[in-house]
Amino acid sequence: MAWLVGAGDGVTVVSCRGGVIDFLAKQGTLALNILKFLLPAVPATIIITLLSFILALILGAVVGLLPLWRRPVVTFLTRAYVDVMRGVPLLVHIFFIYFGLGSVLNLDRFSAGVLAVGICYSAYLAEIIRAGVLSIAQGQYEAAASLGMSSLQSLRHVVLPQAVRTIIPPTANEFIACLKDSSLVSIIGLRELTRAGREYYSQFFVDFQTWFLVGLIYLAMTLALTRVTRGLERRFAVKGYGSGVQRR
Amino acid sequence: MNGSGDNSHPPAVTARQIVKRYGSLTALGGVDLEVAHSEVVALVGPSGSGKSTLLRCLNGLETVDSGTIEIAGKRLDTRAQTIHAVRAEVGMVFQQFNLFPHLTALENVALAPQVVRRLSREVARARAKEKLLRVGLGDKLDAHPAELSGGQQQRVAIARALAMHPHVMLFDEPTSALDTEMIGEVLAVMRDLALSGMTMVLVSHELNFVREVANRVAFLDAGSILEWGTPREMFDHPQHPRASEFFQKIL
Repeated sequence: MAWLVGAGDGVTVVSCRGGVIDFLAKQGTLALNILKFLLPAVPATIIITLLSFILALILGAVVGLLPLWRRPVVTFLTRAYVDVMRGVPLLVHIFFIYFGLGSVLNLDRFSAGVLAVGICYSAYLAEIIRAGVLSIAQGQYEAAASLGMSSLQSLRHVVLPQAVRTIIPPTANEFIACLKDSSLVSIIGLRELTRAGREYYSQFFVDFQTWFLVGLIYLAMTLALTRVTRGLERRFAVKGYGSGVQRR
Repeated sequence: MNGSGDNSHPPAVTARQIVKRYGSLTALGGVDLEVAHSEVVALVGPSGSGKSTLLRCLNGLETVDSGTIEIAGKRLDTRAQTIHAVRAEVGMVFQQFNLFPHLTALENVALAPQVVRRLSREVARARAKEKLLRVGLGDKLDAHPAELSGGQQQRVAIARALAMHPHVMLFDEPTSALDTEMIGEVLAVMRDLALSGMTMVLVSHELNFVREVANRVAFLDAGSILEWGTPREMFDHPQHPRASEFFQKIL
């Protein structure tokens, strides 16, 4: 049974004499120990993800909706923002903001990490929001305008309520990606789930079980998120209108 | 229902020397139009003659290159802040209905009174219900547009425009996207409106309907109004050669 134990590390050598039950008991205890170490870091991952995604949503909405204003300079600037933020790896964003900007602006690890992830994701969200708004037919704007609604009123009552339907699924995608990418901030020493995994490994040299459990916790969180977004899609579905999801 | 209007009110619609160009194409080349209160004016002419463009200029969906438009004496200027207020006085019914698909029939009609006129939710919904009853859709208040037939959708669209209590209603080929069996129900609603004294400007190919309800008909060709007349004069004895050619073809 020794081959079942992770990649030949020195800590968990299990003898065949102990039998399967002994093996499972030892593995169970080990898993519990690792979980006890990892789970306290989960809230940090959740908080980093939530804060950066809220920041990304706000920035993304502004950058994605500003082109509707039809001011060439504004449109150009939003395009440039998206191109630049989307064209640089997140890891480089993190290094640049923490080591580059951070040393000038005196940013702590946490703010720098949240800012980097948030800014990077805002570019993707801006594109999703812009595409959602573009998907609304010209006739809808004209109908709203002909009833005397201002641009902001038609955006608020006519365009956005319809655009959210197309915006929700890809945004959920980005949220899940954002949760996973939040692991990158471990590189600047921000203590979240992935960082906790590295710490456990460097103390006890258990790699297979540690990273398996880290992965499992991320998976549990993303699956939970998937369920939430299905619910959201159902919530915004309209009878006989578009989307494949039926309203019950 | 007189064509000249009385002097105590400004006309419902006054358009003077409207010019509209798309690049090198002149869609409207200096059109004048005056519509009195309670008058029904029909715009007819071959496709591409500028009928729909003229109609869309009247509520500022198209920005004119020159000329002035007044709705009940108020200047309509698409570049001014007042454009929304003036537009609210002009109801528009589109060929493709353009209902808001995420809202029920009742919500479609109640939205603008609530948002633009700032009526309370209850008052706006009561008014919406009244308008939907008027177009014969009292049993479809909670239906979404996708659950309604084309004729029903167009009647909701008419109710939606009426709920703003506009000075004038514009109809842009309101029955052109409908199956034949649904045209009648929409025309019936429009006929009731005309009889109730609503000021209307309509672009329509339903010449029998135009003959029945319109006080005056304008014949447009290549961006100009070539002839004005009552439906009878116009359809039976058109003066302009282009007009007689057109009516010979389609009547």
